Amino acid sequence: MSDRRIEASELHALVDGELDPARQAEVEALLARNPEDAKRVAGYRAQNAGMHALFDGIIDEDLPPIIANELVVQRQWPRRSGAVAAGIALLIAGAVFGWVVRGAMAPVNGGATQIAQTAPPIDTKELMVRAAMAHVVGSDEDLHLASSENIGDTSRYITTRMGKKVRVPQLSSLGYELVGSRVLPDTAGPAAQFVFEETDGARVTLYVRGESADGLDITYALADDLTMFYWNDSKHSYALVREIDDETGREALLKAAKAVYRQIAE
Amino acid sequence: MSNNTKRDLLIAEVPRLRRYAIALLRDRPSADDLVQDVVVRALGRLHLWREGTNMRTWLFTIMHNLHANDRRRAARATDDFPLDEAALSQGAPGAQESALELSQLASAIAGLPESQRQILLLVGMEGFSYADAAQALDVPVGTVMSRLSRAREDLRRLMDGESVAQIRRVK
Repeated sequence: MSDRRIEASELHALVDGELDPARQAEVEALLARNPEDAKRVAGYRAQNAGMHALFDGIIDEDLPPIIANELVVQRQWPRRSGAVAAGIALLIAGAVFGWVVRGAMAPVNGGATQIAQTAPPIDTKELMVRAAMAHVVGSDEDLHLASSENIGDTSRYITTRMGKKVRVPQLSSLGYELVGSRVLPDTAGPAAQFVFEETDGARVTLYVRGESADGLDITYALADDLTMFYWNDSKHSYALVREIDDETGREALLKAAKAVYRQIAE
Repeated sequence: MSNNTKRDLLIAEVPRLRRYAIALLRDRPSADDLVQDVVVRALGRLHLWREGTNMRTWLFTIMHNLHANDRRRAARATDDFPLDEAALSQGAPGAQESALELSQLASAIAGLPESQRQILLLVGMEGFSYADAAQALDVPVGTVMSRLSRAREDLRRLMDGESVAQIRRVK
C-alpha cells in the first residue's frame, strides 16, 4: 500500500537520487497526478542544469600557474646538477654571442631561418639554460613513458600537469620516436619536456615553456656540445635540443624543428 | 596504491575543485588561492588519505575547512556582495532567452547565504550524496536537507521575481 502523500523533502530526495527504488517509483507515479509538485521537481532539476551551464566551462579551462605549479613533482636534481647548470649558463652566455656571428656568416637554410636582429621577445637565455639543463640531467626514472599507439595518454598527462593544453608533436616520419615526457617546474609555470629517440638511440628533447610572445622565428644556437633550435608562438616558447652533430645532423634537427613548429604552433 | 597513483587521483579532481570554488566565492583570484591551498595541504597529507575512501569528499572537506579558517581570519564578509560577472563560466549558453535566465539564476545563487550555496552546489552541481555533503561540511545530514530545501525554494522564488527581502519576510 503506497503512501499517497509526498513529503516536501521527498521531492528533493527524488531529484538527488536519494530515494530507495521502491519509494522512487511511488513518488514518480504520484507526481503524474500532482502537477504542482511535478512543477517543483522540474524547477529543481532546471536549477541543477542551470548551475552546470553556468560553471561547467571552468572544468575545461587552463589551470592558473599558481595551482599548476603545485602539481608538478618537485624532483631532486642530481647532485652534480648545480655545477652542470652553472656550466651551461656560462656556455650559453658564450653561445649567444656565438650564434649571432655564426648566423650572420652562415645563415641556416636561407630565409627560412632568420637571425633575430633585435632583442628577442622571450627570455632566450632562460629558455636555453632550462632546455639544456633538462636535456643533460634528465633521467629516465621520472619520465612518463609514451607509447606510439597512445599519443592521447601523453597529451592528457602533460595537459593535466601543465594545467593547459599542450599538443604532442609527432616526428616518427622523420625518424624520431617519442619515448616519454615529463613536466618540470619553471619560473614561467610548469614546463613540458618531450623526449624523442632516433633509431640509433640518440636523444632529442623538446622543451616547452609557458612563456608567450609573438614573432620569434626558428633560431639556431650552439652551446658547447649541444645544438639547439628555438622559437616561440603566442602561448609557449620552445627549444629542440640534441648533442652536437655534423652539418647533416643539424639540417635534420632543423627539419624536425620546422615540423614541430607546423604541428603545434598556436 | 603508490604515492604516484594517489597523486594522479588528486590531480584529476583539481578542475572540479576549482569550478566549485569559483561558483562558491564568485571571485576567481580568491578561488584560485583557495584551490592552491587545498592542493598544497592535500599533497602534504596524501599519506593520511585512506585508500577505499572517496578522494573527492576528502578534498572538498579540506577545502571547506580551509575556507572556514579564511573566513574566521578575515573580517566577517557579508553574504550579499555583488556577483562578480567575470567569475561566470565563459561557455556561452545557446539562446538569448536562456542567457537571461542563467544570469538571473547566477544572481539568485549569489544572493543565497553561503551556508546554503555550499549545499546547493555540492549536491546540485557536484552530485554529492547527502551523506557525503554532510561529511564534507561537517554538519548533520538533517542540516544538509533543510538548507538544501531552503536554498532551492529561495532560488525558485527569486527566479519568479520576488526579492530576497520578501522571501525573508515570509519566513
